[in-house]
Amino acid sequence: MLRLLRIAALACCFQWLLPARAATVTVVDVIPASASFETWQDSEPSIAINPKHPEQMAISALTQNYASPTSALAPIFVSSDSGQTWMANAVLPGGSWTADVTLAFATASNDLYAAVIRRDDYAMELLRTPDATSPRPMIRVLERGCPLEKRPSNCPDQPYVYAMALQGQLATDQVLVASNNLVSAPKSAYLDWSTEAGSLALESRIPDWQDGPPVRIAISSQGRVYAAFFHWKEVTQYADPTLIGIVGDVIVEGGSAPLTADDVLGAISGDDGRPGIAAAPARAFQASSAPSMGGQRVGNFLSLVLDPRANMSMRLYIAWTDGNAESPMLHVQRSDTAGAMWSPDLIEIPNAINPALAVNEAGTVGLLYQQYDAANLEWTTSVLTSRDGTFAHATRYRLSVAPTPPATDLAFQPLLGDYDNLQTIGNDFVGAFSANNLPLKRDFPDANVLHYQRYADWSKGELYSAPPNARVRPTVSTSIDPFFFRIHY
Amino acid sequence: MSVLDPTSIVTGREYVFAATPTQWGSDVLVAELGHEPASGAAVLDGSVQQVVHARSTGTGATRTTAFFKVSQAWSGQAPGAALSGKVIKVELDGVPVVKNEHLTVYTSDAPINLNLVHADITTPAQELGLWNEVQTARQEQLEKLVQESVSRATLVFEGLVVNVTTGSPEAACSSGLLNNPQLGMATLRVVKAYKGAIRATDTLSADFVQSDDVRWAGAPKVKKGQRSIFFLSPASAIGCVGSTQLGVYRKDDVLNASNARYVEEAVRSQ
Repeated sequence: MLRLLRIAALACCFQWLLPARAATVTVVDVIPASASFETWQDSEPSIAINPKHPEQMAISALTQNYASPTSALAPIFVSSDSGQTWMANAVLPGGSWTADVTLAFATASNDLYAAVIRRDDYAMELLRTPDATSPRPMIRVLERGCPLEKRPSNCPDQPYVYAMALQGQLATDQVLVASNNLVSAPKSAYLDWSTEAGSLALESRIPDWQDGPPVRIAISSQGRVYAAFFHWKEVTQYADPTLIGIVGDVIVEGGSAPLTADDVLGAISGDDGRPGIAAAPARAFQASSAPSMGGQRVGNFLSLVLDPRANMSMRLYIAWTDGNAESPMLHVQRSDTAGAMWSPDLIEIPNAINPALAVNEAGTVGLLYQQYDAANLEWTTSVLTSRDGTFAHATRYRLSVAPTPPATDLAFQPLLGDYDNLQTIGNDFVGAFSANNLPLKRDFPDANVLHYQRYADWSKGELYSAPPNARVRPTVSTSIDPFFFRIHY
Repeated sequence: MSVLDPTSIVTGREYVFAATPTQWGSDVLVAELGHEPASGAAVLDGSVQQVVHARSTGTGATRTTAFFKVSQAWSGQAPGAALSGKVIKVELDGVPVVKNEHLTVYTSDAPINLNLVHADITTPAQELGLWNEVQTARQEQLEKLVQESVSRATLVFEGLVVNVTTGSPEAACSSGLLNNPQLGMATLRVVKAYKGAIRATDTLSADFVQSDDVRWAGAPKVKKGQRSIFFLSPASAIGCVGSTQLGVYRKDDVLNASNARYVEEAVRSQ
């Protein structure tokens, strides 16, 4: 009966999805023209916006240094004109591409931070540069190494970087890196921070095998830090070694910033008195490490965000994906009690992954996600926005409706990413996602402004390695590219 | 070999580059023509100044190149801008060109990242010396790679893959469940033994990585019927604590059989 009710509620909510309302939707393929020949799988993007100069942005992805695949530096993409154009800048040390990377700009300075997993020794590093456009390699601020005998499987994983200004110390940032530190498994949900080089095991209970890979943070302007992670309670291994079954809790913790050496995020406690409560208890899902849905592995997707309005600092949203690996379900819930209690699902989206939440200055919540259509073999990347925070009357912007690449094109997992990223500038929603770069306008249905930096013929749906006036102009195969987007009101 | 900032290139001198780029395109590359480059940095417009035929004194192989004056660089980044007005060497790759012909060429990544820039028209003799230097550097790089692989491996042999089976994760490798290597098993017949307690005609089993996870990208995949030189290392080298199994886990753990002489030299020297 419960399941029937849930399906009925879902049908209800989707009936209320509204078409894109008046907004300028810009979508830009960030691969530079000079790299038009490339066919790399540029998946798993993150975006950072400089809060002091929001026209400056940076995007990272699992991008290889095209100019030199043997280089010791991996590239990021940088824009100085609000995302209209992007240049590549190879500044991430540790190999010609990273095993994981996310970016964040400082709040008190123009510094850009990157959290990476190096490919040469699988260490997690927090890197910093005072100038995102500088060709100088970023400098290491923190390191969480991986012992030789644990590489590369049991090392730090999926570092996600956040920056916050320390109250009363305007010139100082505290930079946080949430990660899945498999060196310390089974209690692997971890938080490192730059001041005092502090670190904290978020997990206060004993998970089965490990915590889930994604660990996410939300930081309030009033100096509160919230963390969310998957506490795996029961892991089942199948005959198929690429698939595991999991029953776990989606845990949320809270604490005060700045974090100090002996901190615990103990402001929210469970029935057992330990830090963290199960916002969504005992969820069953499957995690695949091989192509499961449209060529993409599934199983571990999580997002957490705070309402930035001063009078709404108790409001949090959380999104995650659970369910069967072949047909997972994305959920969004809300807390108006600083994480102590959580609503039922505000919305459920079938066959959807990579949730990324953001709340703008007006309190409108945005949800970026990628949904697979098995009938048409397509991935649709959308943003839902809800002005009242309920998703009952959400507006949907379809940023990309692109065919999933043939299985033979898969270079590695994840195909699209284990995450994408959504941010805000004022009331605008700004983000990054990865998708097939087939240049057909119909594949970007709600984009008013659509721009490829790489050479493309939109009438033929072809990519080229050379400019239109070149004598020799070979075509280039489609591949996965990182895209920037902005929904401007 | 020293590293030179491409922006410091001056007309009238020869260079051999092994540059580490800090920005896309700062790696100055041998330009190619006529096909989609596998990798590269810049798209360059310009004209052919001279076509040169050269023969290597070392291998006897011949090669035809053109010296190409760059009029416009489309990349907009180094070395594109730095190359405007410069003369670079273009590997013709079988495409016929004539002097003064206007072309668009693409920079490309040469093996071992060893790249040439030629800043003036040279004589065949000078060209020959430059080419030999490049070939020597490539060979040195391969020799070093093989020496490291031989030193690291427990068993080294030329072998034939006679069977491949997919496996299940070994418990000892599984604390990172989703990053697990998902080891498969290959049955290998030794054709020629180089290092370790093995003989020709021996048959043994070896792990190989089946995982598609991003951190295993580049791990060698083996196929039935494949004949290669295998450098087998213990599974503990990849975090499989307690496992005694040997396998091929790294990109450098499998080498084309045509490079056997480098392996023989490395084994002799150790």
